[in-house]
Amino acid sequence: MSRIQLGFHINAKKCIGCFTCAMACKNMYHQPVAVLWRKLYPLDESIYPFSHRGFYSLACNHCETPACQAACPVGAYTKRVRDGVVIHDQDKCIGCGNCIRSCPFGAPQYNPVLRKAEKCSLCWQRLDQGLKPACVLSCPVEALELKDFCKADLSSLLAFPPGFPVTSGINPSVRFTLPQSPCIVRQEMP
Amino acid sequence: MKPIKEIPLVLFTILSQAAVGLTLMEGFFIFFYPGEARLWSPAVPGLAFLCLLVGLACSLFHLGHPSGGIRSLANLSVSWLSREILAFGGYGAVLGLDMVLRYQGMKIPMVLLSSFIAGLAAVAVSARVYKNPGYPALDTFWPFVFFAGTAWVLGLFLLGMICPSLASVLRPFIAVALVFELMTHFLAPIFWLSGGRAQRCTAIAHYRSFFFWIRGGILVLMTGLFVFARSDLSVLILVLLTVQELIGRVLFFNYMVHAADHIGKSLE
Repeated sequence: MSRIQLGFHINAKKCIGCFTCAMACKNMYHQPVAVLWRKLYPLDESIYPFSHRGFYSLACNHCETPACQAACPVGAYTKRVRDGVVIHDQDKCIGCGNCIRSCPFGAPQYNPVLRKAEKCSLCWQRLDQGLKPACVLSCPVEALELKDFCKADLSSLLAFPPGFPVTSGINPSVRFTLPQSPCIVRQEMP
Repeated sequence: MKPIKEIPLVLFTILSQAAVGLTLMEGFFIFFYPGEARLWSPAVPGLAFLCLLVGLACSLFHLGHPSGGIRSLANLSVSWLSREILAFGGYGAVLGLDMVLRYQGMKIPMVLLSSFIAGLAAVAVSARVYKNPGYPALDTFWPFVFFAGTAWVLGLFLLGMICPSLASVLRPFIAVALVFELMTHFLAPIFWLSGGRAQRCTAIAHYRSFFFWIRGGILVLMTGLFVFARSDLSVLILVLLTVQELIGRVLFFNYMVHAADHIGKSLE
């Protein structure tokens, strides 16, 4: 069986910052207040110095060598061989918070109701039925795309764009297209 | 001032490092001052064992589900947290054995050596737990430096309290240890200022913190007392020392900036 590593392509050129992806995820899993598996990060002026805004829509990056998996003392994280999805088993979690401290992308979150960590599952139950993840399905402008990183041509995409933590040894399964600089149009006065 | 979090971990790290420090310093002085009879006191492993036991009990309270703590050895192959539990468990077992033997009048250097090595390994593994990419300021050698400093200073002080006859011998060592603590306290943020955005923000968070300057002040005062005034060991000084260690650990657990806090911002 050939290797598969699923990951997100975040197209910031298309993203309009509507939060639909984050809300679709929230509607699907009904996390408590303040727990968001997918978040929208507006780009700072130092990165995108224009009057309209750019965004990165980020969740778990299902890294090749996940920091959360290496940090967890009870083995609650597993990486599926069939598609590279990193799954968190809440039955095993003891709520030590070590994964939350270790992940440089802030993917695992503390659920204060369950007193356990949790994170984006890449909707693996939907994937197993041949469906798209809720966030990808909901995006009205197709700014989120699921790709097989072992087969897709990623040469034109960025692994560590400005504003995204640069890490070594983890290899997050996420690639970016930067937002487009606006073109200035001068209109001739009649 | 922001609310203080992770108090169980603050207490666990301080108490476990005090226990290890006591073992390490006793081992050091037994090797270099073999004629000092009070060094083999059963109170030394006794106090270290008590500190470790209370520390381990405190550590359970940082878990969302403390009853699940028993399963924390499940991921020894990759998780440094699992290894930390194993290391402190092993150290506790050897320390307990040393304590029982000494209360029965037996002084076995091999047991002391074993607890010395196990304690040193436990502090090193404990520091490795916090060296992770989530906190760039800690993804360095600093956790080990901080933990070793705490073990060194608290170990010397506690040993001095148990063996008052050693006070004059211990004083210069305490002075050096306090100078080390003082230097690391002020040097770490300077080091972080030369790093990436998260490290720089960590340094700034330290400089803006009331705790940072209070701890710095206590360390300056104590270093002055030991280096220039040649102060004696006293309970008041031990309390001051413990307070500054607690403040240092509050800074460690509460004033580090996470890498994810700056997503979308310039990281340079």
